[in-house]
Amino acid sequence: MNDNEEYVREFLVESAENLDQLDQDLVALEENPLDSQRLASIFRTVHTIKGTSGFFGFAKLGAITHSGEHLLGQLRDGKIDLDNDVTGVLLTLVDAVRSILERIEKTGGEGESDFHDLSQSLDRVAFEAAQRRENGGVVVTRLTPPPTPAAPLTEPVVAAIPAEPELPPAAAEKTAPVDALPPEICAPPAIRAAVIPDMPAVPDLPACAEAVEVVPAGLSAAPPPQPAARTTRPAVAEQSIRVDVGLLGTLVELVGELVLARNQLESTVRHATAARGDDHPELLKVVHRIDAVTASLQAAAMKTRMQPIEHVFSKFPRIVRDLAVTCGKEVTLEIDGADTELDRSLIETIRDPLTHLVRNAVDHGIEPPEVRVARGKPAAGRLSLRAYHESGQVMVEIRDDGGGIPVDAVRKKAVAKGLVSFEQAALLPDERVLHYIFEPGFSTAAKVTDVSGRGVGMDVVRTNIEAIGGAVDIGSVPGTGTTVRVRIPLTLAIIPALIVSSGSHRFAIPQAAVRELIALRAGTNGQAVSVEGLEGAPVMRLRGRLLPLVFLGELLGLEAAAAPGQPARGTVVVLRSDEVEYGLVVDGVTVSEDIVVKPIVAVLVALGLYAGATVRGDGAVVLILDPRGIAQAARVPHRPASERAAEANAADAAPLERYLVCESPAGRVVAVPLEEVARLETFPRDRIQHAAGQMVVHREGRLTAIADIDAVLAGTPQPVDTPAVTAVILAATRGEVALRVRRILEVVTPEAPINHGLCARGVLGTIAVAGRATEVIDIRHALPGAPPTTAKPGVTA
Amino acid sequence: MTPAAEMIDPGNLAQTRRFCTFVVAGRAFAVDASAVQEVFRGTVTTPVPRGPAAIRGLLNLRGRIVPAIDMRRRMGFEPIGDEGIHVVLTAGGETHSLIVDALTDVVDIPVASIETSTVGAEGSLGECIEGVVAARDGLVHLLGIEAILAGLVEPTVERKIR
Repeated sequence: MNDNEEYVREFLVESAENLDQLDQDLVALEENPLDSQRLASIFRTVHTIKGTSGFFGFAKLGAITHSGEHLLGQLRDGKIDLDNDVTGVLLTLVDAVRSILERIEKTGGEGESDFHDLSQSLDRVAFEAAQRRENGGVVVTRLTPPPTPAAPLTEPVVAAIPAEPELPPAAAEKTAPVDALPPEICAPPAIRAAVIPDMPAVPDLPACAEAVEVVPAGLSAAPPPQPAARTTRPAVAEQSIRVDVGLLGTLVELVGELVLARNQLESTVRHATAARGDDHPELLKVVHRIDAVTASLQAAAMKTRMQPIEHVFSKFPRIVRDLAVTCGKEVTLEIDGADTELDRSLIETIRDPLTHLVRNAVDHGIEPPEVRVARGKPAAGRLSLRAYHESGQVMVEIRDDGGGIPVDAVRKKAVAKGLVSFEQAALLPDERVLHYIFEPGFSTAAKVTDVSGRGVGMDVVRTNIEAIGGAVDIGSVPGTGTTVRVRIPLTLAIIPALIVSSGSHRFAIPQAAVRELIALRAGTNGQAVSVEGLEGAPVMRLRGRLLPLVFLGELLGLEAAAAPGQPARGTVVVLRSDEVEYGLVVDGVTVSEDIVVKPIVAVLVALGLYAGATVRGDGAVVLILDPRGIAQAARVPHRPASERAAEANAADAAPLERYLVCESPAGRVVAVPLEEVARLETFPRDRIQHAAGQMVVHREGRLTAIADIDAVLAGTPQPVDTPAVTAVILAATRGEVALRVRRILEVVTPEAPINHGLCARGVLGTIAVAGRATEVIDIRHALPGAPPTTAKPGVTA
Repeated sequence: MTPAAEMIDPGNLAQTRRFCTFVVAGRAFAVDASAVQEVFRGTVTTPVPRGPAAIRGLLNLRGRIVPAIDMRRRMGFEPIGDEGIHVVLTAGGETHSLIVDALTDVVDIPVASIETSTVGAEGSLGECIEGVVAARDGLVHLLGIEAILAGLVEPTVERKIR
């Protein structure tokens, strides 16, 4: 009995895959009714299910697939034509088979549902279609000669033979239509390959009883199939096996454990060898080897989580087809990049949002055929789905050539709903206006149709996509079509994150949301950062704008808040999403590292503050903060739409230059173009020497000139009076220059470009930093006298 | 061939249920043993700020993040110390740990002897109790896992966050 259960399970898994394929094949066949290869494939799948159901005694399944097989046989033999009725009833058959299989999976039995009607309508459609054909319907010219009725079922089996040179004469007699057979059958896709080659020849259209005898061989553990079939089995089928998803999950989990154990091993060995004053090279060698193997193992295990997006895309031909029929539209679906891989856990998450977008495109986007023709477009609308990798993320593009979104209607609706003022709305560019359709309860559809507009709107699409760290963007040209782009992180499992501390607590913040880090200091003397109170809510002035602040410790109830106006210390992590931008004040930033995201129980997700948890190298559990949720919990006001709009425009324009703002030894605040900064360094005072009338520092085996800003700007060089010197290393054309500073203040992006009119010797121009004029150092003239040639060619080489 | 499911009569199998019994604040409690994965003694290192009061923190259970529920707090008793016995159980696809004072036994209890009308217990204690069974040493309260978890979501959570 146990064996039998295992066979049933295998049958269920295989059939589920075959059914998905069937959906696609049927829709594709409707497009091209003359595709005899596809028809053969459909026939085979239905036949296999019928045969196996007979073997296991699933009578209902056997009955409906028998009727279906009969109809398909008529089709294949050219006795009837494929029309809407036929496709429709065949798709109903697929649904019925699916529901019976689900029932079997859950209960072990076929259930009470009666499928007698379906059998009857299958038979009726077969009969009616034949009638239509006889009554002078269009005679279809077949591209390939129809197989002789005597040997229809040998097709799939004999198909495997051509590659086999030593054909048994008996089989050769039956291969008359072989040259008409499609190459695809000779080299079937991996999944089908597992089923077909093991199916021995059945001399004619089988009665159930014959199939019953045949199929078990294919289902048993893996008996050697006929030699002929074996030689033609594609190699790929032997290179991949079916593995339980739970088992893969366990594997990945265990690898995670191994990584932790490896970390512990390393630190233990380090401590032990240090304590004993013994290096123990042999032991270290083994530890390094384990380290390397663990890292490779981790990479390989993570790869097993990847799946092609096809698992989502494969459902769409059927969905689009059914929807087009319901809406009375004609739609051609194009799919590109279905082999693009992403994390399996994400595949399930994006299924619903993508389905919604596809439904929207067919229902609202593409116009009815008569409207299209009147507009001078082809009657059939085009819907294209494209997936591709872009800078570590997966992009999915859903593009239709329909009527587009009426931007003015959206604008009016946004004003009516109070999302934006009339004046602002009028100024907003169309692209930004379109984003309002992601607001909750926003629908411009003239009527709520059966298909879309049932409350599950674009806001849910956006929420779901953003929940996994993705983003949705929309563009539309009235009359020409709409394009929706969905950005999805490659994997949910490992993300770069910032580890921050608040009191004794540590938290992780997804790096994707982090815009910048700012050290928060007390006082305002010469500094750009200060905390103010605005109607009781703390804010920070950042580059002339007010940034709302959220004190993490206070929000989470970890410590008492610093009163507004009181000195506040710590680091401001500037977080930004499309809706909000705010500074999260933490005590410190520990490190930036890749973390393995682990799910947390629903009760904790419901708090809205945490996106998950992770385990650090030392085994400690750290909660991952949800930047959006925290903004909501702290009531951070949404960014004004005008600002978001301005930003979108700015993003299109050339990126603004960024500057490093620092304080000179004499206390002057100056800026350096960030692109000229190679790195920041601190070196001891005793490494400074004097050569050729100026200061140089000996570092990395060569001499680097030290520029003194104060000498350039004010003529009074400051003596080196600190034990260590902080320097901004600038990459000049003729070697590096070290710009001596007292300290680094921040990196800024001025709202206005540099004003070159306000310049002097050594000053490139002036920028506004938090409302203060700040000089930008011209490094070419930063050095007194000679250009930075101190680094002699002989030394630098 | 008859499908397997039809041959099983649930009435015959459910004559006794196996329970894991333990002590919280001097009283005897029990949970369905089939849900219990493992039991160990340990401490919790990572608290969940703003989380339900009864959740003492998160455990790293071989790479899995598991919330630990302080059963004293959950049932309205006086909490004690950081130590405790963790009874790890899985329900509804999620794994939780119940922190109890001491583990007692694993017992088979006849279904017929379970009294489901709980008398006397009210509030947070009462909402966790699904039934009572008379044992040799006194009453054992059967705890419902779903009830324990459902009561974690306090209405106060929303208020706490300004």
